[in-house]
Amino acid sequence: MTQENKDLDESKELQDDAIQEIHQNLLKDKELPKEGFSFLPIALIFLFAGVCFWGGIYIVTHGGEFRWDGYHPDFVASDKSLSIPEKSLFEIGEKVFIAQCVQCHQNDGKGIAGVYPPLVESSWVLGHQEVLARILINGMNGKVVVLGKTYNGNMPAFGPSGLNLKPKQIAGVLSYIRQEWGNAGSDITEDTMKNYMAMYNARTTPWTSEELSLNLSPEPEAPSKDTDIDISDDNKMLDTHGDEDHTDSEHSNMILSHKEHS
Amino acid sequence: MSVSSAGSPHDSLNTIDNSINKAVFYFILSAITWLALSSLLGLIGGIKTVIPSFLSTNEGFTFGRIQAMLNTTLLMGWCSNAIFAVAFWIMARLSSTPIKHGGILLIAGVIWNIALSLALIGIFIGDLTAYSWMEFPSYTSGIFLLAYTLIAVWGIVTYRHKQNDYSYVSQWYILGGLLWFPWIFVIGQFFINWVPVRGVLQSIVHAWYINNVFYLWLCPIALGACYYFIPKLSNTAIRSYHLSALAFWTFVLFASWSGLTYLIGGPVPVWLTTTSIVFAVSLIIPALIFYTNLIGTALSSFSQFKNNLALKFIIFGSAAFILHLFVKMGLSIRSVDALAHFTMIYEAHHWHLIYGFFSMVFFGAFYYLVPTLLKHSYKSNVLPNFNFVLSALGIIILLVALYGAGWQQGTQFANAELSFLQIANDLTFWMQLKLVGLTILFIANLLFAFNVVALLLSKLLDVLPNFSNDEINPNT
Amino acid sequence: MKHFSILLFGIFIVLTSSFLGLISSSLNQLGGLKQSTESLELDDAGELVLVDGDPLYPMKLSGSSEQGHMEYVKLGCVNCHSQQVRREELGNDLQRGFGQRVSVPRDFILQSNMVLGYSRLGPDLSSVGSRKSDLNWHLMHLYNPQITSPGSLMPPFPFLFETIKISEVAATSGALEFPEGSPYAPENGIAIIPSRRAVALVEYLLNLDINYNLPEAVVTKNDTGE
Repeated sequence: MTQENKDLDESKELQDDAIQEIHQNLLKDKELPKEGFSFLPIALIFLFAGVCFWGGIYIVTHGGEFRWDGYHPDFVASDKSLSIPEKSLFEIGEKVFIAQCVQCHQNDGKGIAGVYPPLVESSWVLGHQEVLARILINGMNGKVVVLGKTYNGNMPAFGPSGLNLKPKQIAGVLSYIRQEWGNAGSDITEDTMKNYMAMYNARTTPWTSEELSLNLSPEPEAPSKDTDIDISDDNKMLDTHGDEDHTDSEHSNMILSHKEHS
Repeated sequence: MSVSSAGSPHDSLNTIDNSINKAVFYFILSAITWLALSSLLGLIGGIKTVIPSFLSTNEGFTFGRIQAMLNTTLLMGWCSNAIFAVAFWIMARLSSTPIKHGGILLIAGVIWNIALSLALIGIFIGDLTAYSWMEFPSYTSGIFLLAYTLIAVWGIVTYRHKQNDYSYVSQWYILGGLLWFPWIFVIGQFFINWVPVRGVLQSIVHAWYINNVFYLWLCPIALGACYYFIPKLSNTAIRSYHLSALAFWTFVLFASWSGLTYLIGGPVPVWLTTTSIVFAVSLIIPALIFYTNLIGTALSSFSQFKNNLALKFIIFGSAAFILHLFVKMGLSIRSVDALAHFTMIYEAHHWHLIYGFFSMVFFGAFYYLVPTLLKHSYKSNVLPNFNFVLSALGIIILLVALYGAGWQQGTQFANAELSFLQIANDLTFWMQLKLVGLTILFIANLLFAFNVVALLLSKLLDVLPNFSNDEINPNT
Repeated sequence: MKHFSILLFGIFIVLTSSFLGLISSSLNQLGGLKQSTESLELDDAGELVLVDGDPLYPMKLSGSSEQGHMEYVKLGCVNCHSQQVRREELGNDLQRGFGQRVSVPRDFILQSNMVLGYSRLGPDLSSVGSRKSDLNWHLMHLYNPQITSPGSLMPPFPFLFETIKISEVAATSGALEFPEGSPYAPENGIAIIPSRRAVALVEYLLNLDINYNLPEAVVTKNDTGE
């Protein structure tokens, strides 16, 4: 390193090509000869082996078995499968009702006078299953008479054009409102609901109360043995509430007209 | 050892230096401007943690935005410009090749700084993202990328066309760093801003991004500078140089895999963090080699180290880096992380890397580079030496304050009786200490900027009277 | 130039390996996570059972909560607040009432602009909606944290509020209700009205609550952590 004509004090520095040349030579010699025995490389080999050994064991024992649902470092997948009981339609419906319906129809199912119609004892609720299914799937718009009072509002759709509930959830909530608060309607099964949804999913506009009564298909047979009891219960309901003539007769008309059609 | 290059080695050095003179000075000046701005922002942030209502009436100065602007100016302003200034020069010197098209480098540099200014305005008016160290608005990321491509391509071209047969480890680090950054940047932007993934996947990409920007961009280039300047300035070969290749490959591989330790205990599958823990602990291998290579070399020529300003900075930075790596290994251990997670220890760890290591190495590099390029040295070393003392002191106080604060927070988190309000109140002493550290750093950084600019001006004053003379005879 | 291509190849392999190993694999593993229709619940006998058909979890945020989430991002709240509940041994999250169970990836699948957070200079906010459900408290806390939590390190956000003059002393609807004798209360005849941004932000905070079961994460602690 003899560069004395530099204006800066670079005489004590390595020049760039020297840096490279020296180190290139060092690589050829591998180790500085004067050291004789180099402790570091041997220690590094042991260290490297140790780290690999520990790392392998640590990943296997604390890696959550590489599963997406292993979050605890000591996670061990259990083969104990959880029992999956079917919830009854009523229980499913209760949850859906609390989540989606109580704001308008209220916890007691009585609605808000003049604004949101009641569900208790309403012939719409206890009547033809297809009517209910239509309302839930596509929503309902305009004037509707319930228990003798006229309401004018918007029932949102819960089918694919609206909140997109599953058939089982709609079936559940319908079964719930037909059986809670002293209502004594039948279950609306998931299969029935699937059929209705296949028919009405494509429709995008809400129903009006006049439209609802048109083109109804026959009520599905209730799956359980106590079909007759259910139906007779229904009829009893219709009969016993004679004071709400208007709605009930309208409801009967609805069914009649449907029967005439078919 | 004889210097065996064709013609006068000085002529070729001058050609190389002159080929990027203008661009390098542009980057140096931008770097120190952004550094000054970032230390001002740091100071404001520091005051806010002591007096929360300070400057709180204006939305742009709220703590979250100050923090975002601070991170952005530090990373995209100071660090990037410093890298552009130093990396190309080292690359050109070691490859004995002048940088071609220095003009394009300059234009790209201007574009980069325009993108950064846009980003800062964007953050100020509220366009920041939710991700630390990539808070710049997504509409600036394309401009950054364009400018970066125009800049980095010259470093790679220079290495490809190098005029000698040597391949020194500094060149590997710089080439790697230049190539890795755009890739990390694109992956981060792609999965977070351009085609966003959802949920914790974003956090996983973000952790990977931060970690790789730090350890596969800032670290390699600063290490490249260390491997270049330490043997050069101490006039000694690197100790155990044959291990440096092992250190290079193990460091970049292990560090790149170690990023998800940021998410230990968080809502991610545990195998991700476990894998990163193993790689983070494995960093002990490169850390030991770095110790021998860098610190070992410096200690064997201690007299040089005491008297050489640039070397002092660089050795301080290297020592801080090795300490940083050991802290990283420690933090990756689950039981330590249980205490350190969510505390200021992580903030301390970032400052440790950026100020303790990166900035100190680059201060040293600038103190070597500027006089060399200007061919004009300091008449007195008092101010630069004072700068070293101030910077070192400021960093040590800042780190003590933040690590101390974090430790105290961690022990108090474990005690469920203590409310968060109580824990925050107990931090007052440490926050004040942090403010002291930030103030000292602020002064030190201004002094650094002053020293560089003063040297430039004194050179200009020297040159102006006999300008033509200097042009003809650049060797004197 | 043999070593140049080897070097390039090595540089390529290093980053690709960590990208494939950490990012691609987690995209592959978690990218397909859907909202759950199943939930683990305690049945009458106290056994954990998997139940199908419940409403889907996690639920989408409402429009204004989503806007509030953006305000959360824009104000940089993530610098000091985390939104993740960790295991009890990692800082007593459950005992502090930060949530009713540990957070898991599925809780976040609907979110963009993730704010998991990395620092807890302030408390975790995963379930702040159930911890503090008072709208006025939150607005007051934003207006000036010193009113509700003296000594807090949180900055005030007065720019999210408007100061208006009212002709009478009567409270204007929506104005902040300051506690009696608070030194931060405005003079008589002046009311502090929260802007829409402040209301959206608070609505977002009030909606933050992880209180449902997922097949992989069960609420084990039912007290709300007083």
